[in-house]
Amino acid sequence: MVIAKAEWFKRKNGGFFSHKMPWQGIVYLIITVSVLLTGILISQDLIPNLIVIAAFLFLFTDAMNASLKSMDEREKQHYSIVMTNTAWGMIITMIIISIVLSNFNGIKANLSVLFIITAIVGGVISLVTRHKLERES
Amino acid sequence: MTQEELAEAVDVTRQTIIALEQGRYNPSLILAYRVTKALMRRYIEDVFVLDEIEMG
Repeated sequence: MVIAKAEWFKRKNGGFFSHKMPWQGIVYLIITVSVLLTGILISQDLIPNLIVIAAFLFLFTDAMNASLKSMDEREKQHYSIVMTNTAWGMIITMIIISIVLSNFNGIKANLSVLFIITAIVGGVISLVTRHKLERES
Repeated sequence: MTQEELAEAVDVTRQTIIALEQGRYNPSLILAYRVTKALMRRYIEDVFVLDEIEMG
């Protein structure tokens, strides 16, 4: 944690639909996303884009680190299960779609399809796992 | 002591306290110790009961 503090990301009640994050955390996340969007909108040159991506990655990693620190032991346990399931789901999806694409049109031509479907599958697995864990413990 | 106050005292979310109360979550030894202290009990066994079935 360089800039962000764990208290900024500490949710008050926890739970699946609870997003009562302190205003500092919300502001930090808005700034992080704004940096990326501003970079995309303003410049198409390589160097400014690299600087913006580096700034975004720094802020994002810092926020993730602070967010992890703000979790209690039960939330951390849930988080690790969610991440494991999501990662496996995304890997399997990528392999299946790659095989399908290579048999039909080729992966290079449909790289965006591969990433979009993988991201959607990852998001769904993450949501379902979190929901199931919150209900069970 | 309310769930909210206990959660704040032991530095966890209210959701975790609810899960503990309902027996849906087994706390770490450190958390069990903190809860015991926060509830001003002497022994962990005064607050948490180990189920014989869970022991196997």
